Amino acid sequence: MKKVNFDSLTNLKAPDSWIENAINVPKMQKKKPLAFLKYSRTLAAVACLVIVSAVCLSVYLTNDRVTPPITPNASINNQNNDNTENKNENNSKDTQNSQEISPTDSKNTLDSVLPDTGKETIEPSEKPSGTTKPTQNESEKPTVKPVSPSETIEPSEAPPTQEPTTLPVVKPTIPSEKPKPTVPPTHPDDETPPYTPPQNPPNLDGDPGSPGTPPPQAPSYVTFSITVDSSFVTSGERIYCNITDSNGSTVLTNLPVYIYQSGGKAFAICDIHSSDVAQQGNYTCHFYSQQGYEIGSNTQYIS
Amino acid sequence: MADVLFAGLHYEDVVRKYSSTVVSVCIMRLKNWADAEDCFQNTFVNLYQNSPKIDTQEHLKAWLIRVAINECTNYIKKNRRFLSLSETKEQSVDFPTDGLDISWALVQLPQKYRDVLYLYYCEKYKVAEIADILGHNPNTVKTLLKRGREKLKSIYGGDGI
Repeated sequence: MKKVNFDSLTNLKAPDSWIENAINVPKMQKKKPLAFLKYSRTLAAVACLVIVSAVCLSVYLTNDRVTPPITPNASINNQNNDNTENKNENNSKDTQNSQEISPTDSKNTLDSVLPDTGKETIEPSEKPSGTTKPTQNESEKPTVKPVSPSETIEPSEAPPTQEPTTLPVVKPTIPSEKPKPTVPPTHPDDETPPYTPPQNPPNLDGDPGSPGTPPPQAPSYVTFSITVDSSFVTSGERIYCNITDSNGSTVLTNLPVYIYQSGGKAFAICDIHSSDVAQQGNYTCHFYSQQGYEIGSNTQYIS
Repeated sequence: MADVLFAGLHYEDVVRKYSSTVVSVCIMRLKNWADAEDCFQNTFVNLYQNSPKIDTQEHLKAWLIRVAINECTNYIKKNRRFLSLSETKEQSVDFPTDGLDISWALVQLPQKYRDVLYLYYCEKYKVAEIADILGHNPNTVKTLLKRGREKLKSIYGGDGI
């Protein structure tokens, strides 16, 4: 049996060129530059750019988070205890009153008459400073006691009040109730100036008003208010009022009436100064609609 | 890297000593001189770059054969191309068909039988060593060896293996 073989496959010789190329592999490996070194400058530039961008971004974000200093709110709104929730949407934004009103009685008057935030907005059309405390009971002594605001706007100037800091509640008149004056109402009529809280009444005793002296019981504002339908607010219909004395005689007419809405209810307010009436006594403010119908009335004792 | 020794031999010496073995493996696998050259170079490049810790020259030879086989396999997978008959003739390896040399028949076997028969008959490896080089089970190698012989006989139409 002839034995076969694989000599031709076994005895294959690699060409010399192949061998030389294989031997030269180490030399080629040495000559080959590292890619990292080749692009080292580019990589360094990119790395620097990334670092700078990251630093700038972090600085920007850090500064952006810094909140501006909180400035004290000029209107350190004294909140009536009863009027803290009431806000007059129709309240004019006139801040004149806040500056005119001395922190004591004027504030008290304002708070007593109007909703809470009305302190700085409503301007009385013809009323000097004064405070009134609408008394619910007509038979009470007709001393108008200024009501100190719970929190005065200018505490530095405001002496503490005699009366409790709670603002009087003005309730609507129809059921002999007096609405709560919360915020100064915005008058629907352009002719009527915005309500401004009355100024501090002069000291009855002639006392210059030493610090700590409660506001004197001087002639001050008297507020007549009734509850009206909310349609007056939406429709912008004007309400008129007349002041009559106990005998039914008309004392004052064409007084500005302010309508404001609070807590889903609408109120009509009319302020007069106690000096507008000649005599002390019970005075009734009759509120009329634009068509002439009497909406309601409110009686106050004016001293 | 010139100081790196492979089983006591410098890289250059390794290339010169085992170049015929590596080229035979590549030709056996690829049956093409051009493709065999690439795999031949890659085999020694791997040796130079990886610098495996090889103690004996038998180990070194086995390592080179295994790397050459793997390189050829990867080359075939990566560079499957369709050659024209003229290109194939120019690059293909011509084995003598007369005489007792049946290398021509060996390269016609399927790949799995070809490797085993080459290592067994050409490189004179044992079954266990072939199994270690190819990563097969020794019984698998035996089976492949047996079947390879039968196919080889059917190709060259004779006996003597």
